[in-house]
Amino acid sequence: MTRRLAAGACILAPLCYALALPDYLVFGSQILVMALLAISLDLLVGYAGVATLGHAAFFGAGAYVAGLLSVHGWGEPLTGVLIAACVAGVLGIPIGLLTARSGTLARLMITLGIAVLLYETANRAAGVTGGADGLQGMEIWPLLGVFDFDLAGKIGFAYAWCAFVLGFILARFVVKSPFGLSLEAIRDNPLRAAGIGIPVKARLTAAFVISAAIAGAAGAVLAQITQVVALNVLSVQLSADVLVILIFGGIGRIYGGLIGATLYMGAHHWMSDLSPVYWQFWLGLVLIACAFLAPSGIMGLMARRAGGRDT
Amino acid sequence: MRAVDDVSITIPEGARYALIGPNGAGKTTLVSMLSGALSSTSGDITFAGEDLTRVPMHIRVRHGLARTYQITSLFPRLTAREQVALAIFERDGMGWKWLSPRSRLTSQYEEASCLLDLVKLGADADLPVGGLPYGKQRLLEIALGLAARPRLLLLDEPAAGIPSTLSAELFEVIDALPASTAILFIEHDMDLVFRFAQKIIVLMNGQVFMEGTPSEIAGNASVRQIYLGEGDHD
Amino acid sequence: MQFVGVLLDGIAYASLLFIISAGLSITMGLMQFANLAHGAFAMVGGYACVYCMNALGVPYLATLPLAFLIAGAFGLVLELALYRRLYEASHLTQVLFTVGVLNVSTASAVFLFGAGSQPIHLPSYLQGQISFFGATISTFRLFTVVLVVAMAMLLASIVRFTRFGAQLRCAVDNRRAAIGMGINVDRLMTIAFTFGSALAGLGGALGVQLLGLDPSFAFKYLVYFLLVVVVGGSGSFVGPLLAALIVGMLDTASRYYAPETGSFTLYLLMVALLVMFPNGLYGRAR
Repeated sequence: MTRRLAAGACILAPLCYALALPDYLVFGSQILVMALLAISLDLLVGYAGVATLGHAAFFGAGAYVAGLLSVHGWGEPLTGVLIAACVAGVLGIPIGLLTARSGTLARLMITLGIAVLLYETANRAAGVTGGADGLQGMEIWPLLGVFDFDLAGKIGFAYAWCAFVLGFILARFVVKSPFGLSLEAIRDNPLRAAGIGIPVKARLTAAFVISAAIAGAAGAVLAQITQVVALNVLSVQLSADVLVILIFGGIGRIYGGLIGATLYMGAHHWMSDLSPVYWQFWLGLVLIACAFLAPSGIMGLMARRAGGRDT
Repeated sequence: MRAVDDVSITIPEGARYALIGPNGAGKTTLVSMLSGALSSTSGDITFAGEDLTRVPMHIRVRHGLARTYQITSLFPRLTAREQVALAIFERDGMGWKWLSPRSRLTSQYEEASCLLDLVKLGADADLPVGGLPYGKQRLLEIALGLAARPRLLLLDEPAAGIPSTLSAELFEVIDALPASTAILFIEHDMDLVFRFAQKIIVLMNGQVFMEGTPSEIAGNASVRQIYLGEGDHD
Repeated sequence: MQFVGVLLDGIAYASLLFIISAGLSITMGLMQFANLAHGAFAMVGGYACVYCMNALGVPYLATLPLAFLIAGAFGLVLELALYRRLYEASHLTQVLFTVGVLNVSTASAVFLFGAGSQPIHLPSYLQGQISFFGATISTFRLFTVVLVVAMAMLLASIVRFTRFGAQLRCAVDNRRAAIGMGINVDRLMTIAFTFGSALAGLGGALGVQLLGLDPSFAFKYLVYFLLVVVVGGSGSFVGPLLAALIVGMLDTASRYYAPETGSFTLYLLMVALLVMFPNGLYGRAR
């Protein structure tokens, strides 16, 4: 019951935000996009037990696909997101296959390497991607033919919210399915998982595909809302940030993504105004403290206090 | 050095065979090769008419070849009910359902509950397994192996770590399995072996030293000397 | 530039990567702990060198052992106080912790030394070029290579001929057996970590000239250090040496002969190598 309440709260909280802070809708959209990205990462990290340092690869791929579609004449947002999600999902196949049999360290490095490779490709192929200056000249058509993406960000926020809710619901279905349980089994004991008939490599690859598709959709949504694609959508920094967001919010809890994103980006925004150096310093200290005190995230800490069970 | 050397065994349907031998004889290695955890350098494995030699482990399970582990190998963060149910989902081909809630699969969950009751774990069914005492984890090992409705169940020292009162009960559960399920179990406890095995295979230095009924094995002087006499550490 | 010059440039770069990553390789091999913050120790060495030279007037050559010692001291303190408590933690917790250390170090560097690149004035005898078998090459790069080779040989002899080295090899090979043999693996780890940090510090000091030094150093070069260790194979010196040479030569060559591609070829090769050798060129499955 509490799980359903939490899920409901997650879906409605952004509404409260929009009503409370109508001047910060663009920022709110970014939080929602990051939350969606974190949820997609959670499927891999929290449920399948796959540590990855290259998740930005899928996010960035989705962003660039949506961006390039628009720049080359197709600015319809909904199909743009769908196509971006498909491309990102397809990208998940080779990465999933490559890392399916690797140990944790090798997997971290391979995913990091691939993300860095994609970043470098986008950086160098400036003719196509705009390079370090980012992809300019995007023009997104009105949503459903009616709603224009306005500068105040109202439509953008609503769009991001819908994407978040859909992604959240999708992730919840996956997690509560037999497939989702098999991922958790693979996380806990890959050898025994095979021993009860689970095709481990195929399932992990499928998990990558689903996770990548959601991440790609998130990237596309961001690109469409901001109508620009910056190179940092593929950066290692982003991969690390989303991992930190997830760890803040709690790995293995689907609503951890929203909480983590809100905490992290809220704190970042607030402290960066004071001083970027302070932000980085205090973030570092909080991460170190979390490693010792709350290894399963803020939510894990609270769950333990409430005497509740994990997951 | 060969862990398993030129071993040739045949296990008929419904058999209750025991695999014994001193430590390091290659028993676990043999079972690992049968289950698919290890691959052999030569030789083949035929199961119910199918050649399973190069087939990966999860497909062997689909064919009905299941295995339990000497050192408990479970899913610590899942509950007992979830683990057994998962094994049943996989057996029934539902493992790929990614958008329908598993709470709807009531018959599979019921079967899981039955299995857990069978191994006397009904009361602990909804606790994460990592917190269960070792003896109960061993029972779950068996339940997990049974969930696949195997045609051949390989039990690697099922009674290891369980007090002897409980292990006899355990073996009675195993003995009561359908006659069509063949069982090959590795055991060090000779009382259990002699009580439940139809046939005993003695493995030594990776080779089959002898095969025979319990009375033949018990009566064999060299077996007694080399193995049975070698430290009753059970 | 002449080919020999490019070659030496690549080898010098490789030497720096090797000397910094050597410590990381041992700690990763010994405790399976991926210290993403390892570059911070190199940074400590670099800043120590620059500070001693610019603010305290210490001659350059003297700052090198100072950088070594100061970075080593940092390593010792951090290992005893923090790192050793996390060896049994999950890899994600370790990532969390080391990213935290990275952030704290970078922010501290900005706070103490400013966000800009640190200037360094090499002594005149290390500047310029000399004639070497008919080719003209950078003096400093030659100096770097010679120094690192000397340190590498010292490392190799320690590992091969001392009891400490034997214990280290034993523990990297099979930690549990080593403990069973009475080897104090915890103490081994502390020593290895300290020494590794010290080496990184020395590399950082040498690197100020060749790699530049600013607060983003640890983040910027993180990927390179990790690549060298993971592609080379953690727990050994030979693997990372080989990997460092590949990385150093390839990156330098791309810079000179195909600058538009950036590090693309390097990353492509590294990913390919990682996929072909998941345990590294010289590593082994753990």
